[in-house]
Amino acid sequence: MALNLFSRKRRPSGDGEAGAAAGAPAAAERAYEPAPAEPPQRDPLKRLWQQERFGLILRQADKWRTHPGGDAVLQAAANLLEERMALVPDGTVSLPTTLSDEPGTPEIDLSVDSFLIAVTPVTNAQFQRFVDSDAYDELELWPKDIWPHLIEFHDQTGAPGPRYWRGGRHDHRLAAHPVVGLSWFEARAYALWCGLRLPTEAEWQMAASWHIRSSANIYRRFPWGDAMDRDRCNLWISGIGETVPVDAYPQGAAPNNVLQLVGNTWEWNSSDFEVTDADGRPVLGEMPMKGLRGGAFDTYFENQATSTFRTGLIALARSHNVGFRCAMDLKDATWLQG
Amino acid sequence: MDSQPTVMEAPAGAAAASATVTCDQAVFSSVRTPTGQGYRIIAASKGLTPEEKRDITTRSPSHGGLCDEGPDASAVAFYRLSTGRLALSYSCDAGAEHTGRGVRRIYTHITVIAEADFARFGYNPSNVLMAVDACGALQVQLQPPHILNELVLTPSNRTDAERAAAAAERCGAPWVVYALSLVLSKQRVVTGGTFDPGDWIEAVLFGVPGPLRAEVSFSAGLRYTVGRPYGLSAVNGDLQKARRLVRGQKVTYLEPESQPATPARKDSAWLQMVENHYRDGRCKALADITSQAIPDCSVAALDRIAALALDAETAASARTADVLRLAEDRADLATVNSFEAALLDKLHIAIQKHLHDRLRHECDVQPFLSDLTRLLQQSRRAADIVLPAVRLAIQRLATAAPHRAAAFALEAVAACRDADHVASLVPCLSDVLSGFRSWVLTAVPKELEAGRAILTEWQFKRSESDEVTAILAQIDDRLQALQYS
Amino acid sequence: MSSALAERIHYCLICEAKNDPEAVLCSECSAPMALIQEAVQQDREPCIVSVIGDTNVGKTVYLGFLLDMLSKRAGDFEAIPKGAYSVNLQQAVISYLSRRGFPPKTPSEVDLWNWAYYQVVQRRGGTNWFDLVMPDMAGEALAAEVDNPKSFQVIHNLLAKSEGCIVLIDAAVASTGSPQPDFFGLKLMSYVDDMFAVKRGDKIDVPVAVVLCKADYCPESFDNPAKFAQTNLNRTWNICEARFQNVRFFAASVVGSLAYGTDEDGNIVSVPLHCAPRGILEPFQWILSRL
Repeated sequence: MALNLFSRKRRPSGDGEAGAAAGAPAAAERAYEPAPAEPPQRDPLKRLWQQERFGLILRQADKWRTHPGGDAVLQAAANLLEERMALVPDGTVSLPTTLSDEPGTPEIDLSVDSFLIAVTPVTNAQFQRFVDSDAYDELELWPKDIWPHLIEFHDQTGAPGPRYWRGGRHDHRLAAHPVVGLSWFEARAYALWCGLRLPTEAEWQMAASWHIRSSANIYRRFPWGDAMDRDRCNLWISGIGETVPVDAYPQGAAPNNVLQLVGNTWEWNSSDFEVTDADGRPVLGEMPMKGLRGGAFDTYFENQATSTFRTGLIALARSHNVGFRCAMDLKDATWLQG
Repeated sequence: MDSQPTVMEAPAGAAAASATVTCDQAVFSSVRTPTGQGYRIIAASKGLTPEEKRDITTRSPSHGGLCDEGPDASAVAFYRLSTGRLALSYSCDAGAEHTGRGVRRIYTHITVIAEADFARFGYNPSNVLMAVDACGALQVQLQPPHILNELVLTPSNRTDAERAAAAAERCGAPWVVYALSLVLSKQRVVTGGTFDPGDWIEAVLFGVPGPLRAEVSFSAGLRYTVGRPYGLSAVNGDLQKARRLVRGQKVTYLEPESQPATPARKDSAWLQMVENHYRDGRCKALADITSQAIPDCSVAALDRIAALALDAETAASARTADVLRLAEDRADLATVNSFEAALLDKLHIAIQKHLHDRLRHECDVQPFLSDLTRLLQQSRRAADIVLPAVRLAIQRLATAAPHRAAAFALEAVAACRDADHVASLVPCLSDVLSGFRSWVLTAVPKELEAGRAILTEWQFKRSESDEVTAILAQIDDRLQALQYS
Repeated sequence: MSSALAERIHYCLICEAKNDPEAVLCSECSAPMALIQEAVQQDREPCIVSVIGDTNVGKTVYLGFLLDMLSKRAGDFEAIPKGAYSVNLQQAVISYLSRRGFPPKTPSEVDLWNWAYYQVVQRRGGTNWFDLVMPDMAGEALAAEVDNPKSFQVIHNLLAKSEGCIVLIDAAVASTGSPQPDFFGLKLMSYVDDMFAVKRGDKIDVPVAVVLCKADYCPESFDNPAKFAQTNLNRTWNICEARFQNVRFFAASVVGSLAYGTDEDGNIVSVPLHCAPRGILEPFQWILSRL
């Protein structure tokens, strides 16, 4: 079958892509500490639980209600999602339509309904479960026109996985760090796999700027307020130069305790990135681009790490400083419908 | 009747050449090609040597190199290459650069010409440029062939001095001459102002003897930069920057429009001549003089040339007494070469014209007669100069006072050293005698006595003629008649 | 103040030509006279590190970011600009890139180049302050000098006085298979080789950091810059290996995401959507460690 051409083949460690290191890479391999593998649960519901696909569990509630222990698992999944997802109230956001985000530049105003957003970005440990479940071979998670590119989504050793992993494993010391080195399609696939989704650009901005509907009509330049504070986020100026665990910088949280919307890694959102120059001429990437928000540990300019700064990246790019977080519709939040 | 003095013919060296001139050419700009990108020589004819290419590369501007901005910005430069050939470059704006980094692309075309061929353009870079433009070579070609053909130009040595004259008028002739004085003494000059840089350069260049112009590198409209030392630079636009950059450099910086007075200069006849021409609006005449193949451009020679030119101006405008003194001084001036000789001829013609015009309209020519006689005696050349005036004087006197005319004619004939000169006066003698016939009928006895005396002398000094005898008889009859009345 | 240095106050730091006391620029090479004046004031000879590369490779951006990072005490360095002119380059680069644009090209005219004179110290390690001069040269001038030596004498003099070289090569273009960056790298290294010519068989000791720029376009170059160079810039690699004993390969990038627009004339304009400088300090740190 033609589809088999796109199935992932696990290549032996060391026999990798052209970019695989020689000399120095051998040293990196010795320094790499792959996370131990978890034997998968046999019970399908327990396996979903093990994989932390809580959103999917809730979506398939009807199916699991009759499963042994199903009710308890459903409740536990709801509880965990309640813990891990934060409510963003409805409001409006203004998205600059040109490259400039200075006052006075053209914008479009969008209404944003209430939704839920993950408190933290997806971690390496969480994504490991996606990889371990052979999700790269689950074609229903990937758009059909991406199938030929699936073979490019591999790590340093050629195994399916984010770019900087080895042998299909993350470095266990980075388990709690945001997963990076993955394309927009991988981020989206993970979200789908979990029964969740990526936030839209407007939703992300809503979460970061907190421009909720109120008589005050104010929005925040940063999730914590209006002034940059290097102690509240991981940008270049913070001097760290790499990612930190996703629960770092609690003092940089948004009012609903969502962490690290600004700094640490850029975050994919679901929107196409479309922008023009000041004269209305389109600005395009070499290939279709998806939106990025929030800045990363190597973001040099503070004005590029605000709640309203729009940027994008080629959807197939697998960058060292781009991660993502998930979102879900309010209607799927069963714990709120009680 | 004597004829008008003729205008001096242009020397043979300045005659318009009919053959073509072949030059090398190159294009310097920033384009992306398979072999590279950025400012470099992107096309050149085969005759350019590596040294010449290097020189062109260091002299040619990159973006921001023009004083003006915008699509109409342009600049011209002229310099000698290390091989001895001359380069004339024309730079212009060629739109946005391909890198899209917000800079305007500068496109420079360079014509490389041998010094001998430069002379065929009247030593005038503008003529070269016009010839190149006529070929279409100055059109921007961003994808030219890597190897260019040689340029075949039609030389022209016309002098179009209107714009230079306008620049000189705007800034003042003393400033042009001051700049010229620095250039001739091999000092580097940078001039800033709102005037057109090319016009200013031309104004100064017209004061430079043609053969020396190959030594005067210049730039017009190129931003001043320390790394490109031109002998003469004219800049407009941001003068603040230029003022800063020239500090401590061996360069004299001028701003004629804003500086009140011209600095004192070491004067010379040449500079005076140039200033007179500009002040009087005779820029074209100046250009006609200087654009010729002056064989000797040493300081002494230029001063001699200038002195002759100044004398020609004197001859045109001074008092006749001064002109006669000038004729006395300059008639036998020794010249070093044919160019100076031609100028001297021109001076002689100017003197002739002055005397002719003066005597033609003067009521009383008597005061000039002794000077004319003295010049006839001085030398053959002096006699050549004044002979037309002598003939005219005789003719004028012949109608009103033929006895004086006769006396003067006799003196003139006696003064002539040359048989040709005497022969040229003979027709005047007939006029004198003709004048006598009608004069006898109206002259008073005293005048008649004087007339008889002079005619008697005439008979004595010249061969006897029936006509003179008849006039003498006529005078005697008249005297007798008056005595009895 | 040492009398030896003070006596040179009217002599250009780069070409050592004597100049008028009023001169702002050297009449021979157009380098700022402020450099020697600063050196005299600091009473020490500055160390010159040259950043060289082809046109449009990113020298201005690289140098601007490097200086700005040093000013912000990155990499445990502390750097103080000497003279307001030293700040011009980083100011221009940061201003443009923070507003999603690239700075204008550096003109070929030497008097329009930006020169940076910095006092630098590495706080850990207890080294003393030292002075650093880093000029931002025009790529075209470098290319002209390499092709035709003595076209730009100032470049020759600068390189001859450099205690270290940072050679920038366009990894993005190289990764497309174009041989141009490799050929330019070869010419450049050959020129440097000629300049520091030693007897046959000996390798040049001057530390040379070869930096693969725009590496965001080809992230594999970050994984192993040496291997990337060996594969995609083989000619440059070979001459480095043969003639330089103190050479190291790095990868660097400034732009996190690049898009393209058009200007009013229809030319394609590169738009840096956001900046994520990477690998900027490491070559510099390595050079300093070798001095």
